[in-house]
This record gives sequence, C-alpha cells and structure tokens, in this order.
Amino acid sequence: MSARTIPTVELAPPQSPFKLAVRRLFRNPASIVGLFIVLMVLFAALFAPWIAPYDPIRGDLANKYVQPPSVEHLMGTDALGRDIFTRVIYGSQISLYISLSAMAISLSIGIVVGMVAGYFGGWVDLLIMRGVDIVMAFPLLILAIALTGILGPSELNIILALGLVNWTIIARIVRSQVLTAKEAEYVTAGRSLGATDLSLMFRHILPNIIAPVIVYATLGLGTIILAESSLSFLGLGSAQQATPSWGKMLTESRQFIRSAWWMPFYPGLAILVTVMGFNLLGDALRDALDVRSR
Amino acid sequence: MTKYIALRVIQFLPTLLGIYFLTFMLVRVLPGDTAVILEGDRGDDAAIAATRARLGLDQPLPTQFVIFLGDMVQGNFGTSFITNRPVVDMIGDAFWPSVILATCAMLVAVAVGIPLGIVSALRHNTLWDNVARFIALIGVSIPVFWLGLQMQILFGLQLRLLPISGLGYNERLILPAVTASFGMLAILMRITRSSMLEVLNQDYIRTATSKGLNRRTVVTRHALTNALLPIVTVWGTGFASLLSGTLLVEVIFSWPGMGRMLVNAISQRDYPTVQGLVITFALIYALVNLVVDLIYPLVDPRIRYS
Repeated sequence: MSARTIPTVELAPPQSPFKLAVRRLFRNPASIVGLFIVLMVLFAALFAPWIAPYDPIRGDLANKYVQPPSVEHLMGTDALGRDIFTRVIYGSQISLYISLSAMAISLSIGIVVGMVAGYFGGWVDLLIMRGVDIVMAFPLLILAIALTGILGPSELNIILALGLVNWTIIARIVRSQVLTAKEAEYVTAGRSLGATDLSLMFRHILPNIIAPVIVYATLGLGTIILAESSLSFLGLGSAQQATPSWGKMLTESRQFIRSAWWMPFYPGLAILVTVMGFNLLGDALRDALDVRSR
Repeated sequence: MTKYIALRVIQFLPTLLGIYFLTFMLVRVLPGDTAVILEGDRGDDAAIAATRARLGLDQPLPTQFVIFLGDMVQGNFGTSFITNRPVVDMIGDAFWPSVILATCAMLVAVAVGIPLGIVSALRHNTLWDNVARFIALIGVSIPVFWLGLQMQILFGLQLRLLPISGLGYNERLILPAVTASFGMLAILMRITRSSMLEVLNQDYIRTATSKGLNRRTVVTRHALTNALLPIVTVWGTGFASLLSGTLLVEVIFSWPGMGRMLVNAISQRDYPTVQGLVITFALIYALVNLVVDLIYPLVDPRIRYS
C-alpha cells in the first residue's frame, strides 16, 4: 500500500484553557502587582538568611536602645537592639509556614468532605452539610481563638486551629461543583468503562473542578495570614520569646507606641502588603480562570 | 409566609443543638484534667475527686452533655474559675459595651461603604472608582489591631485629638468604632458596586432614561432600590468580619466588652467563661444569620418562599 499524502489544512494552534488563563492573567495589571507581591514574600522567606543584613534573634548590644530608621537600620531597631528590617524578613517565613500548612489541612479535609457529599448525595450529603453548617455557625476567628487557647499557645496549635476552622468553605465549593460535574458525559463514560467511584472522584472529577478551589485557596491564604497574625498578636503564637512573628512583633511594640512609631509600623505594613498580594492574585485568578461563569 | 418563617426557625434548632455540642466538645478536648488544674499543686487525691464530682466530671460524657444542655437552656453558664462570679453576670456586664461598639461600627460601615460603592459604580473605571476599590482592598487586607495602633498613634498621640483607650459613650467611641468598621465597610462597598453595575445595565434603566427621567431619579428611584437587595445576602459575612474586628479593637482600646473578656479568660485558663462566651458569640452570629434569612424574601418579592 503506497502512502498517499493527505492535504493538510492550516489550523490555528489549539488554545489550551491553561494558556488562555495565563494570557488573561498577564493582561490585568492588578494581577501582576499581586503576583509580584506574593513572589517577593516567597523570595524573602526562602532566602531570608542571605537577604537579611543582621541576626534576627541576637540583639546588637552596641545599640541597646531603640533606634529610628537609618541607613544602617532601614526600619530602625527594637528595644533589644535587633534590626526590625531583618525581623520583618524572617517573619515572612513563619507567616507562610503557618498559613500554607493550615491551608494544606483545610484543603485535604475540604476536598474529601465536599467530594463525598456531592458525589454520593442523599443522606450522606445531608448529614455532612449539617455538620458543615454547624462549624460555620461560629465566627471563624472566635472559634480559632478558643481552639488555640484551649490546645495551648504554640505554632503547631495555630496551624491545627486554623486548618480545622477553614475547611468548611472549601467543602461547600467542592460540593456544589461536584453536583454539576457528576452529571457530565465524561463521568458517565468513565463509569460505563468500569471506573471505580474513587477513581471517578479524584482522577476524573477533581481535575475538572480544581479552578474554583485554587481561587478560594489563594483568597483564603490572605484570610489565614490575617487570622494567624491576630492569634500571635493576642499571645497565642509560639511560646519562644525570640521568634520574629509579625503579630508578636506588634504585641511587643505596644508599649513603645509613644516613643518609637517604627516598631509597630513596619511589621503591620508587612502583613497588610502580603495579605493584599494574595487578595489581588486571588481576584485576578478568579477573572482569569473565569470561575463565576462555570 | 408564616409557613416559611416557621420552617426556618425549625431548621435553626439542629444548628442550635450543634453549637452547644461543638462548644461542649471544645472545652472537653483540652489537655489535662480540669479538676487537677483547679485544685492546683496543693490538691490531694481526695480534693481532686471532690472537685471532679462537684463539676460533674465523673459522669459519662453523654450524661455530662445532657446536664450541660439543661444548664445552658436555663442560662446557667457556671461559675468563673478566676472571679468565682456566675459567668452569666460577667457576660451581662460586658454585653452592652460590645453591642454598642459593634452597632456604631456597623453604622459607620453602612454610612461609608454603601455610598462609596454607588459612586464607584456610577463613575465606573475612573479615578474615583479606582480609589474606592483600593479602599475596599485595604479594608479586607488590613490587620485590625495594626490599624487600631496606627489610629492611636496618629489621632491620639500625634494630633492629640481623641482619647486612645477606655470605655465611654462619647468621643471615646470614635476611634474604636471607625477601626472596627473597616472589614464590613469593604464588604458592603464591593457588593454595592457590583450589584449597582449589574442593575445599571438592565433594560428598565434604559427605559427609564429614554423616557426622559433625569439621571438623579433613575439612579435613586430605579437603580438603587433594586441594587440594594443583594446587600442583605452579604450581611452575615460582613457581620462575622465585624465581630472579629470588634474583638481585636476591644483589646487594643481597652474596651471592656466580650471580646476582651474572651481573650483574658483564655490567657487565665478560665474555661467556664470561655465556654459561655463562645456560645454567646455563636448565638448572636446564628441569630443575625437567621434574621437575614427571614428578611431576604421580604425585601425581594421575586424570591418564592419554599
């Protein structure tokens, strides 16, 4: 059989939804700002020992008293002579470590619970969603404060408390997405080919509904960072005195608000900018991934 | 309508039971034995056993829950470990300062957030719109306690205009209320803006404009009345933000409300007080959400009661 040449038609290159989303993302100036902030914070956390000019924990005894911002100390020093700029940079490590860990817990619980409720429906759904309603009946921060306070103040307990409080929104989103996705043809096709429930849920449905989950996880990170700093501010964070957490730096600075404005100013600014970055990126991802119209 | 209200109230009961159950479990998961903590180092085994019996901690968990529920329904929240006063009385003292602060903050949020959203929508994609949206972005991103500290520094210490701490239903309310309002303000602004933008694109707005009504009438009579409806739906979210804002503001401004009381009770390991406050906060929040649910069909006749 001789090979015959088939006439080819010139087609526009196929547009993957991913490429489309990336293009939309970079067209929006707000998303570029958000992405820039998030990357900057990530960079500060990863490379803190190389960026930070001083030691975050050991104070310089030569400048024992609080110093206003200067060329040597960009954000001034605190009561122990520690460089605030250095501590703000190291603070990003704690903030990201706690918020990312808590979000990982929330995502694991939220995705599994929401998937099971939406996929099986019926009384399973009813029972699970009543449980979700009950957790949601508590104001988030108050539940997190009570939980951390009862478990005892530590970083691990903040992670647990925030992780155990935040999963409900993820579960709701996943459930409502699964409710429509499970009626799709690819699910019916998969089932008729003998795919198991587990494989349908996590190999077929999950990748198709992941966009809104990513959006709300990004926005949720902002919320968690705010909650984490509030808990640290209230003294529920790490027991170690020296840990440079942004919330705790603010607590320590409260007695200096009359004499040293820079002590309470910069750590709070770091929180504001970081949370703003996640909010901008989350909003931009929502537009780029076209979440609402789905 | 009556049927709808009755149904919602009945649906509220399991949530109520859930709130009690979760709070009950919350205080029982704490590490360590409450009786041992109470008796401290001086307690011998007999004293610890007596305390345990007095608190009913020697009963099986389901029995404890039934007793707990009975106490709660009668408004008996137990006695504070620290002050030995009934928790209900302590919450009673802290209740009004919190409610008044939260109400003032809500008024600020409504008075600023909704007009800001309207201006933002009417001046869509202009400098005004961008400024308003930036304010809303800051509102959802700012740590309330930091905002409070900066307010104290600027208006209290630098400009010496306002007192920076303590209870008082006068100018002392201004800084705490403004600080606590920011989160809800941002939420209200965003929903007003997006809802207004949607309404302004409707056919009936074009009809109203084309029949020669002036802009002011179109905006206030036709657009605004319809655009305000979705605001009710975010009231619950906004209120949650207001509650946590008020809590942190109370700590910063030494305002003797329930939020500061909760933080103090936690640091003193005063569990009956923590338990009573968590339930009170959850009840207030749940009631607000119930009222929002009940009001929604009233303000929007298009919603059918089901």
